[in-house]
Amino acid sequence: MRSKLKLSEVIRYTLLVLGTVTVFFPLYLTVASSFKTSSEMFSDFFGLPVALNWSNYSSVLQAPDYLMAFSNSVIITGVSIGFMMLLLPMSSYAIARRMKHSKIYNILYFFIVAGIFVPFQVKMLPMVKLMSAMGIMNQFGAILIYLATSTCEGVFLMVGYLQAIPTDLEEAAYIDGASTNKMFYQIIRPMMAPIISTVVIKNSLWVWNDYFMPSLVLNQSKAVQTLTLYQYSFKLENSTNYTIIFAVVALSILPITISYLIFQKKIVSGLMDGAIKG
Amino acid sequence: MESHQIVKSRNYDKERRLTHFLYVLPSTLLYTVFTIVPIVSGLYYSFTNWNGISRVYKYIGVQNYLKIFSDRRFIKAISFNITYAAMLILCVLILAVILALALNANRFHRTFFQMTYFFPACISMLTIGLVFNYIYFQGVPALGYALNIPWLQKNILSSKQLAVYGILIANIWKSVAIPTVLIISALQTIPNEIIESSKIDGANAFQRFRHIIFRFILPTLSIIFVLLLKEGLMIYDYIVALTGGGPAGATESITMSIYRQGFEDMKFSYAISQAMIVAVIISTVSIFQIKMSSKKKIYD
Repeated sequence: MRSKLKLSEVIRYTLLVLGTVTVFFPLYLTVASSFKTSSEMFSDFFGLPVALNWSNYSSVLQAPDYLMAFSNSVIITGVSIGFMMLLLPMSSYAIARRMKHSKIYNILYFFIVAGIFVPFQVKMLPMVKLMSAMGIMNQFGAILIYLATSTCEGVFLMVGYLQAIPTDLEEAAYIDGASTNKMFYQIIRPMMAPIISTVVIKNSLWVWNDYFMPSLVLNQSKAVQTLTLYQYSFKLENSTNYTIIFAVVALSILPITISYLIFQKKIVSGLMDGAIKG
Repeated sequence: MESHQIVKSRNYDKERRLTHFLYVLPSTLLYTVFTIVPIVSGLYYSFTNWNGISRVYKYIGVQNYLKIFSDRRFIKAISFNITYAAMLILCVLILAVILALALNANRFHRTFFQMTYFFPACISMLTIGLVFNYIYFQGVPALGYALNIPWLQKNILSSKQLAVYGILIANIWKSVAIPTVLIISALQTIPNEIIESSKIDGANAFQRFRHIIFRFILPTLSIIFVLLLKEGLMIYDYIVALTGGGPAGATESITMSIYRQGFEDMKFSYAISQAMIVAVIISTVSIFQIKMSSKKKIYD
């Protein structure tokens, strides 16, 4: 009995190690290749680099493109998330508290939540026409699109959360003469922290990693491209220079890796909650 | 005194109403301008023959829609997506269940394994596509020569039959993460006593899986099924980074086909009407998803 138990444990452990190797292999390959010279890469694709050759990184970092793309991604993600944290709790709160009594807010709720069912494909073509007519095929326009798109799921998740919070505290605050604004920011919004964090995590990864929307809106010049666009355009321009492409990929994965190491628990739970409900 | 109170509460009511209105205003405006307006104008264009650039176009009724169902390119792309989604669902579900069972029962380095398995979920699809592109370009052929397997010696992405598996593998690498963690949390809802008593009754591991574990994780599996179906029907980024739809259109997904016809082939209004059809399909899937997740709460 005992030895049988051990065997199943060994199988399980081997399986998990194999899976880990599968996850690490592309990452290992990226980092290892980014330190190789081109000739080294052709002679030995899988092995470790002979020496830490930083020239790929220095040539990527010497051109302004990487840093420009990186700062564009930071700005677009940062500003979008900042405004989502401001606007989504506000609108969700008003809808959650009004929709039971007011027909208009009830309709508004379903009007917004219906957007969850609309795939990006259906709005992309007219959206690009609209944005170019408005002259906002730039970072500003991208931020507006992210804010608009995040509304549906954000409101859905947050209204669901708010409905579970009893209104007694609010009523007490009103009787004490607090303004709606003060009451919201001092009592309700702090209580929304868990759901705000879920929405923020899911949307940060989405905005940061998104390729499709930027490829439609930010394709006018290099000055506006995000990190994912930069990776793709770099690949098209340097299709023979693999080692440098791996340096670009490594530099693009790095910010995500660092955030993952720091916020691992929050990211896992945020993405899981977002996946089930969203 | 009493009238004073009423006046006060009326003022409050007014203030509350105004604040609430101002709270919903920005989100509602953004959503209306950048989601509703494109959809409505898209619906309008889908009944015209606009090519996306010209100044004049005319109303042509449902002609675009009638054309779709006899359009070879559309049918080919849609069947690519459906086959692809089926393969994705099958592979990810099986792998995720195996990994979740192994992770859940495993006692060693638990945090490390969970952390590792989840990491791919955080990397962008495009980046993953680029890395796998080079693995197929150089790595796999090198392996093919070393092991003397002829069909591996060429880049699988340049083969009409194999390219789709190249995309699928990259996709699976990322997409197993979230389902695995979801299944683990479903596994943790199974009461220990049930497992223990089934062991005493002499049920083997397979019977235990079929009659107990499977029933507990079924609601989660159905949610994952729908999520993956949606992912498979909307696939785009991996294809851009891996094959660009080739070779010879063998891996052109419906999204890619719509994009190209709309922006490159001057078939703007026709592409929109295809997008409308796809939207109906994907929305139906999404409605199922929401229904299932609200059902899941009952099981919890």
